[in-house]
Amino acid sequence: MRLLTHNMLSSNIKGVTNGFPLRIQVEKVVEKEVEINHDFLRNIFPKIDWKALSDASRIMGYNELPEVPPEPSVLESDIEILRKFHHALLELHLEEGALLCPETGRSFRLIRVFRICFYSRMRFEKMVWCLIRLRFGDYEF
Amino acid sequence: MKLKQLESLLGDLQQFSNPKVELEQYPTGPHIASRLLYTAENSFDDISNKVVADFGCGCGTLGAAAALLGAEQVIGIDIDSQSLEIASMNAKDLELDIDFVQCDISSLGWRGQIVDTVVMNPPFGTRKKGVDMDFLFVALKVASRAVYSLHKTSTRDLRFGVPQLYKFHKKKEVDIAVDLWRFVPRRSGERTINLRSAV
Repeated sequence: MRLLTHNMLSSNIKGVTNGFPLRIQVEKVVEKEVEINHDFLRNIFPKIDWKALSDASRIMGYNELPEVPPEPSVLESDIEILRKFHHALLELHLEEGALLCPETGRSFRLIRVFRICFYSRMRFEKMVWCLIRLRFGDYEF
Repeated sequence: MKLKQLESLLGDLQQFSNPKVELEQYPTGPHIASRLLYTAENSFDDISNKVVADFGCGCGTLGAAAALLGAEQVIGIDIDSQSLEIASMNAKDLELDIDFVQCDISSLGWRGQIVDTVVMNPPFGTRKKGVDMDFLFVALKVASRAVYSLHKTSTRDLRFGVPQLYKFHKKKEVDIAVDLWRFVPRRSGERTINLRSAV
């Protein structure tokens, strides 16, 4: 899960007054390179809660993001800060862990992309079929 | 990406193997999903370089379609962990980076209109009355650009093939007529548009 997702979500459980930001329980962090999209970053910047992003990135082990948000004009000229913002927002992934409601502690489970379970024989067969298809690429079966 | 190419990629996705009747888990077929997202992208520019959420994503067809059309970030929300596991496998097969969160739509809050576009095929509310409106209520609070949503209707504009998944479907396959709606937040001079004629 990217920190952009974390920055959007809050807990809406009954009785909770301030559900943002969700607490991050880190088990495993991975970094996945994504092509930088300057326009996207400048558009999303005003919507981001900078403190939550910078705190979350520190929890994930990335300390480069300044605690104080830069001026929007700085983003136009300073490629370095834009790159750091990009890295924290889109390239740091919480691969294993949980998001917890800051008040009740209830967890919102994250689904890992690599998790594979076999529930039934039917699904197992589907899975095998899928692998065969991938191996043979463009050939139709 | 061409419409046909999108549809054929979506056709390869796995769907529910044991659909849960209480959650009204009907798969969103590749035909309808590809057309929904294709229209959102090409007629309204609501997908590429945008943040897109798929509420009640099930096996993730709509979210995958959004990612294939160049959404910068896609988030899939569903209450059912089994379908999310299928969804994450589907995303992996297509090499797409989608964040899936298992959660009840009503207990997850959103920090304002932080998502650009919501695409969803919510439960129709035939088993639990009003649940489709719960989805819509959250979606309209979250989306800053538009909400695309499929709803049951008596007018047959889009045909929604539901294969025989539940035992109480007597006929082999039932066509349920659904409308695709596009909702936009009210700003000066803007109205809610029904997309029926566009698809």
